[in-house]
Amino acid sequence: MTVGRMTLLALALVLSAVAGFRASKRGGIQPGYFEKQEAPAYGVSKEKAMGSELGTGYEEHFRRLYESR
Amino acid sequence: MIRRAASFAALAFLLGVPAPSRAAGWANPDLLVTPDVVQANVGKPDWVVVDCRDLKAYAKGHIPGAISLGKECKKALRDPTSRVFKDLKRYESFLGKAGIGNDTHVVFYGEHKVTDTFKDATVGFWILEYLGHEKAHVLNGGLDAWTRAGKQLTNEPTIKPERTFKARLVAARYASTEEMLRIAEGKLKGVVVVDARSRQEHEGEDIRALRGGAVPNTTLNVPHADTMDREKDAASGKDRDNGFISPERVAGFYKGLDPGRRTIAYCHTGTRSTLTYLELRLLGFKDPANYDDSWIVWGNTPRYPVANEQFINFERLQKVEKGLQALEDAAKPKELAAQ
Repeated sequence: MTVGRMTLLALALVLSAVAGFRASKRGGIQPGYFEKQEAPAYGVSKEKAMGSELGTGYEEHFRRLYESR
Repeated sequence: MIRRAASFAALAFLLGVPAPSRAAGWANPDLLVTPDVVQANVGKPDWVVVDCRDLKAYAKGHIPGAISLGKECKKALRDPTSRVFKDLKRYESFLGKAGIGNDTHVVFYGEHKVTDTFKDATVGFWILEYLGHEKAHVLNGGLDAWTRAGKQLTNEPTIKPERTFKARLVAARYASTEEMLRIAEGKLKGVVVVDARSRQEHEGEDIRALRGGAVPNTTLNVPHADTMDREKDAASGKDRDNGFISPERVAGFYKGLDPGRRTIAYCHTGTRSTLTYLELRLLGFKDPANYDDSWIVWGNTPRYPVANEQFINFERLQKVEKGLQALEDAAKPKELAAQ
């Protein structure tokens, strides 16, 4: 592989990375998008449980309150 | 004793002393409580005070000793379609775990100005009465009343010990679509129907479903916010509803009605109309009910008849949109020039 061809490949790589970054920035699809938007539907998000802001005792209380009887 | 009572009755008759009157005060004043009553009882094991705002608002500051249901009461106590759970066992389990038993006094409070959750308190009140609970109350003025009384808030959460709650359904407190249909078609007479929505919604000008309008044979339109006391808003300088209710004002809206007749309140989702239900209970109406399905079901079901029926006029809507766009476009150069 010639130096010229390697330079061309490196340039293409950099350009595609920049283009990808710009598309992501403009389109709003950014790293973490899946975790924020889609993952809860699959039950794999890191969304806080109800009552977690009050402490673990309250998290457990609300979990029990809303669990099916 | 009997002679004394008879003498008093005769004297009262002669002097024209009225029986507990709707105009003079509430017929059932115990349904509403004051901040002092809450403060005096919140720590007792047989009292549960429920903060009807969402958990975020509760975590920021609430009445000391009050519990949270984790969500706004209208969401915690109803299904995602804003209607009561059909499965009563679900209520029994949920309320029991929250610390509410059949003999527990339950005070619901919301907040009118900031979170608009005064209605959540009345939803909680209506649902408990529908489930046959006999000690449900609402804090008049909600959190606003508490803070105005100079009482402190806390962000220390409270959990009450579990209790046993058994529902004893009072079916008459629930009005179904079937009953409303019979009223609308004139097959069921003698029932009073109160529309708690705004005048614009009632007249079909503000359309929030497939159709705007009202249930035929609606007796009265009493917008729920109109029944609240009014005060001058510091920011706008205009008079506005303040989340407190008083017998002097409320009684005036229902003065022509017979408290002995069945009276059904409805609104868009059966939420605002729970305030009407509370007011009718306070005034001593014998058989008030809330139409749980309300307009969201009625207006979206084409086979149900509608008074003041209006459909969304898409042509007019497009004209309005175009007009707004033109206004925006006209404003743009000025904004740019200002920059």
